[in-house]
Amino acid sequence: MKITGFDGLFDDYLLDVREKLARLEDLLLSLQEAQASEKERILIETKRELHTIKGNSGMMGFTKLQKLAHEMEDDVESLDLENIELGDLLRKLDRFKLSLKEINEENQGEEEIQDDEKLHGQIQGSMRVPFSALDELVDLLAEMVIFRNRLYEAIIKGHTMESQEQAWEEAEKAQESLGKTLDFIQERIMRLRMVPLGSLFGHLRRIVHDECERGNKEANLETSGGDTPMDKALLEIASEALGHIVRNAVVHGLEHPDDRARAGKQRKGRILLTASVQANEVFMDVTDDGAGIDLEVLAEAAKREGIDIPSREALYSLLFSSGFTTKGGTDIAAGRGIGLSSAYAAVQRLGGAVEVVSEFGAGTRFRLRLPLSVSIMKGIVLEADNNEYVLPLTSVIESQRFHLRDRHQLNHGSIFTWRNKVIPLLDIGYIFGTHTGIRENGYVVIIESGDKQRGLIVDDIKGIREIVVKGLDNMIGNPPGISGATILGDGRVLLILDPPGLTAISPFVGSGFKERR
Amino acid sequence: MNIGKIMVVEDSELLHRMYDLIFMRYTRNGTHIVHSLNGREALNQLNSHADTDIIILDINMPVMSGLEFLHHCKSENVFRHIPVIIVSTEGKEEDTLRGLRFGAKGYVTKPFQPQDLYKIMEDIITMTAGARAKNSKALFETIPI
Repeated sequence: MKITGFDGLFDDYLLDVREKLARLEDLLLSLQEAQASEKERILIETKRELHTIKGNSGMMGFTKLQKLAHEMEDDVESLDLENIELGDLLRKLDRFKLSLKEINEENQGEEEIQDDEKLHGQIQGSMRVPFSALDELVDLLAEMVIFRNRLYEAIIKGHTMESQEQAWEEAEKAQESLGKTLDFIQERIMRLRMVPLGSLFGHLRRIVHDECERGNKEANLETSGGDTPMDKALLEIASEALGHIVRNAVVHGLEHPDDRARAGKQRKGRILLTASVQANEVFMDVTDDGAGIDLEVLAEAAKREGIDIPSREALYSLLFSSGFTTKGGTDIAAGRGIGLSSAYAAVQRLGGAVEVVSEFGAGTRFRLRLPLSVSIMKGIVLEADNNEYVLPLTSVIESQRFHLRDRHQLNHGSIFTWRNKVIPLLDIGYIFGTHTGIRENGYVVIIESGDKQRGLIVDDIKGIREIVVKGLDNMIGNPPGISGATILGDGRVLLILDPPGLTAISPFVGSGFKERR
Repeated sequence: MNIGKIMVVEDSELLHRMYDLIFMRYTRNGTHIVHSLNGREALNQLNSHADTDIIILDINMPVMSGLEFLHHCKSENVFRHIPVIIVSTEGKEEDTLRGLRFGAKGYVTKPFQPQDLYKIMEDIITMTAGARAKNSKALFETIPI
């Protein structure tokens, strides 16, 4: 029996119930690790979430889901707290999620988010916005209208009055106020997009639980910093990357309980997830007390594959390259190929990074770094052959004048020396087909992505701008070296350069250019 | 039916939005709805909404449960006359019975049809209005002039 009249609330229901399911998963899985005194509190909250899910599903007319939630309530009621067995509950939770997905597809034919869109930080679906925040925005908008009117009046004055000085002054004041209010609005809207990182914890706990079961391992996921705010679009990327990293920690990091005992460690492995905000970045550290990464094995594998490795840090970055495997050392890096590398690519595209530190025998720490927000960023505007491009400022190390004499030819490419390092040069005009031959002079902008540097050669550097990032149309696909576009104040559209893509382009190009690999 | 003010005490924001839809037939005629997310919030809000005509109460809520709220509400002279309808998810019938013993006037289990709620609300409001009219008359008559 379906209660009619609430169809318009379906999106709200979906958002609400998904949040509650994620929380439920987190609660259930933390029940196993909880102190006896904590268990009671967790149980009460678990039951309340389930009860609400049941009630709301019933009110929406989803009898099947209501029944499933009721069964889960019974299961929770009969949990043996001394020996918690979650298998049944988790399977029902999965069934609930699946049914929800089916209902959703029936209801609105919502397709799963395209990977491409995910990579560009665009997300579909809805989020929760408090009324007070909307009110605040409306107030700020009203202020903007006032300042706009002042600006308008000042312009009229300038046209009609003999002394234009006063008009200019008023216009400047109004413009300044307008700018300030705009900054406020920007900040508020960005804040609206924020969700707490803790909403991911249930998903990650589940991965640890499932992988432990699959591999006969024991592990405990400890979390902190759950209230760290994150842009919702970035959270999706973080969710994927952290999922791979956490899975990796169980599968490849942690040893079997017996081996751990032999090595003098606790049988149960420990995975620690901490999150914090530092300046404009979110740091998410996944630390395990497992076997660590054997650099010798990595170095050997690199040698076998014919990859030249300049430093220890560079060895770690091999873990993220697609298809790389240490073959001989199955217990260390086998199977780590595709998953981690695709997550890594998504993170890099959004201007983030993954860093690895490991001590062989003692454990590994993966650090995921993501910018706080993706939609607005600072960029440096470059010009080559009368075309302008924007380069994300975070990837720029330095820029300087450039003369032909600084350039050295090596095979089919060019290099130059910068701070005693040899850096490959890329001519922006050459890459995008607006220039052939060799540019006589201009500027070189040194960019870095991962551990790779490139010197970008351009005619001119036009300055730093705050830009609003727009994705490219799907029809265009993912052209190498471009991550999106932005619209300037005067209406011109500029392409945004993609530092990871650019550093992946081989500098040693003959005709045209190819990606390395 | 003319209802001045309805208070909804419920921890699910989704349900609040549903009640907004359900009560549209009243709000169109000027009925005011007060939303509270738990018992404590509802008690605080009652201070400035003592003219509430009826309270729709969920049982299972964080911070302060529906039963606790009911207990406090019924022990305050200013509020005890406001009729309360318990609307809660089936499965905890003993709580609901306790609620009725605590002084709730009626109860509805989720999921319910809006018509069921209208009926019980209107019956209760008519009943209490009648009782209060009688009481106030009695009160008036006992005041010596």
